[in-house]
Amino acid sequence: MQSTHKELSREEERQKPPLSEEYVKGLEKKVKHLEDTEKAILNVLEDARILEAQLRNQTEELKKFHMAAEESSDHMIITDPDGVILYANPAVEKITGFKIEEAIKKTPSLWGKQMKGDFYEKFWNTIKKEKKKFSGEIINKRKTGEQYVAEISVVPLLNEENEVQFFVGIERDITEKRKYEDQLVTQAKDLENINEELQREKEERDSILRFLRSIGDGVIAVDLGGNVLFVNETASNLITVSGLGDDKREMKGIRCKELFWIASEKHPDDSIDFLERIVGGETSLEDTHGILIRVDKSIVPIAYSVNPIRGEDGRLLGCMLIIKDMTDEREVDSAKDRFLSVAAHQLRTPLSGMRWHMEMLLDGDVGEISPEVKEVIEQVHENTLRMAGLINDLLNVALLDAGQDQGSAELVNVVETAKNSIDELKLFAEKLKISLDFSASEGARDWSVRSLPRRLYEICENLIHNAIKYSRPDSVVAIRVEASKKKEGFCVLTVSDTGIGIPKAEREKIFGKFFRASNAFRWRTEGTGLGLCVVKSFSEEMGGSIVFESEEGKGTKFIVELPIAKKENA
Amino acid sequence: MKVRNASKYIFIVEDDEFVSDVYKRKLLKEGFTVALARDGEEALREVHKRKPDLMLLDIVIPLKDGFQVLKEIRADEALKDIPVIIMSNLSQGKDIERAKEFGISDYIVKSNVSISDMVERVTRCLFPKG
Repeated sequence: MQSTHKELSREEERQKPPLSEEYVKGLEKKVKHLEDTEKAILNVLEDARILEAQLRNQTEELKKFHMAAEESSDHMIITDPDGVILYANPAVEKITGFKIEEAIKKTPSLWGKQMKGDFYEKFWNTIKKEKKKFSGEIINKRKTGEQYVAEISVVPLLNEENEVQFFVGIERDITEKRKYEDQLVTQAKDLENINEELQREKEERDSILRFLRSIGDGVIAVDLGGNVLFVNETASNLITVSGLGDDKREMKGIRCKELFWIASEKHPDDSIDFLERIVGGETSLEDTHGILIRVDKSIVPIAYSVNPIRGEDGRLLGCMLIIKDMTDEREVDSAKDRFLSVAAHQLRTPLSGMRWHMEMLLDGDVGEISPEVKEVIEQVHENTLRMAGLINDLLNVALLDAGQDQGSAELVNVVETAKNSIDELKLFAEKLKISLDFSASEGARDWSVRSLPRRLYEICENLIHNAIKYSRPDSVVAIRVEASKKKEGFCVLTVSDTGIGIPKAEREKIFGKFFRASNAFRWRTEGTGLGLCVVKSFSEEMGGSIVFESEEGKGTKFIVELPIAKKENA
Repeated sequence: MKVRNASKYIFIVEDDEFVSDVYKRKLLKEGFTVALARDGEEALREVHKRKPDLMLLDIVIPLKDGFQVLKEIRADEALKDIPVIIMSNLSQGKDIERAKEFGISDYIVKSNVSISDMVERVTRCLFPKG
């Protein structure tokens, strides 16, 4: 177009004669105008091209947006200012369950109306009146009726007059996320609880361990393989051979048998496999006396207990050995033993001298004495015997405490022994005007019991002596030997009186050491309160038992039940 | 009876004067021949000089105790058959057992028997068939 314009001006110059200056100027003006017009047209064309490009771009953008919307997992709707749905993306169906066709022309209340009224009020206020974006969490309802939690974001789109033209709403289903979050919170709380519990258990365990560590007895836990699980300090000190340089040796995990053995005092070479015994079904070994043998063969006297360790399900996990060092007790025992010998010897010796001298006097071995002197000496003699009896009681009890081996048991005839003690007490009974009535059932005369020397005699003597002592004058003390009705192979020795009886409140204590019933003490002041204690111990030692029936003021019946010994050689 | 007893020599080993005095007195009265030692060593010396028909032996005595005396006598070919009655106030079973192991005729706990019992047991030991 430009070239045409130039050609034309050249032709005009050629055809026409030279023009006036004014004319030229006029022409020049026209040309200028034409040029301006051309420029303007060019500009418009340029603008149109730009607009076209922009439009193309916008279309492209819209396409992209549409594609994005269609692909999005977030639910997206576009509504008119009244909330009527104009567009819904496929995610709407996925989330709400309503088909797009169902949603179009409806409002989102199709899946809404689950929140309280003020929520919707605030919602509409924000987007419609304030014309601002609303973001928040909302509970909606799927077509199935199931509620779901969503994050929503609604933006008003305004026209040039600043009026709402559309709303764009985007909704994201966070039900799963929320569930997951809730689950996480619950799990966290659970973890916290577990942690707390573990902490508590740990504290408990720590305090038990502290307690076990500091306990005065040795404690050793052993697993089923015989390996040490735990050793407290006392046990560790007890086991450790000092001076070997391994005083601080770690014992955990080491085989128990490599650290020490336990044996009975009588058979130090036969080590006791306490674990095997527990595994073999023994429920426990209680307070057993024995010895602990260290690796260097040195010996410690001990008392020990073994108990099974069980898991919560009752499964056997190992055993717990508790050891008490008895070295000091042993020394006390042997001191006591020495004391007993001394006491027995030193007290009895002058007593026997006195007794025998008086007996010689009474027998007239050193010349005739007047009846008056005789009477006095008889009384002294009687009290000497009483003194000897008291010493015997004291020694018996002391020996019981020492738990010593008192020699070997022998077969003792029950009826004979009872009769011997009755003979011995005849004078005493006569003096208190008590008659003694002995009876035995058929066959009783052949019965023997296995007893250490004098034990059965002591039982009879003590019970009959008591019965006489606590009876009123002119009454009868009955002594009977018969077969036990309750236990086969047992005989029963009963001693019954009609005396002062045992007060109800004091029945529990009657077999206690040095105990005397209050009424007994009022009745007769003398007595050590040791007799029944000795009788009970002796009866039990012989494999028997003792019980009594009594009513205060009416009388008492002591019943001793003893196993009849089988005569192997007879 | 006393004539029969006179032929029997009883040897008492007892350190307590009060007690030994009463034995000696009673046994002499019964017509026995009696000698006395106060400790274990004296006892062993005397026993070698004249072998007794019966020995009444206390356990708790000076120098050598009754067990030791008994052991040495039993180990001596010439003396081992001497009948011995232990006269002690030790009454624990283990003491009695230990004495019995050496072979004794009787074990008497002094304070528990009367003097006539003692004489009876001595007589029974010396004249077993009555």
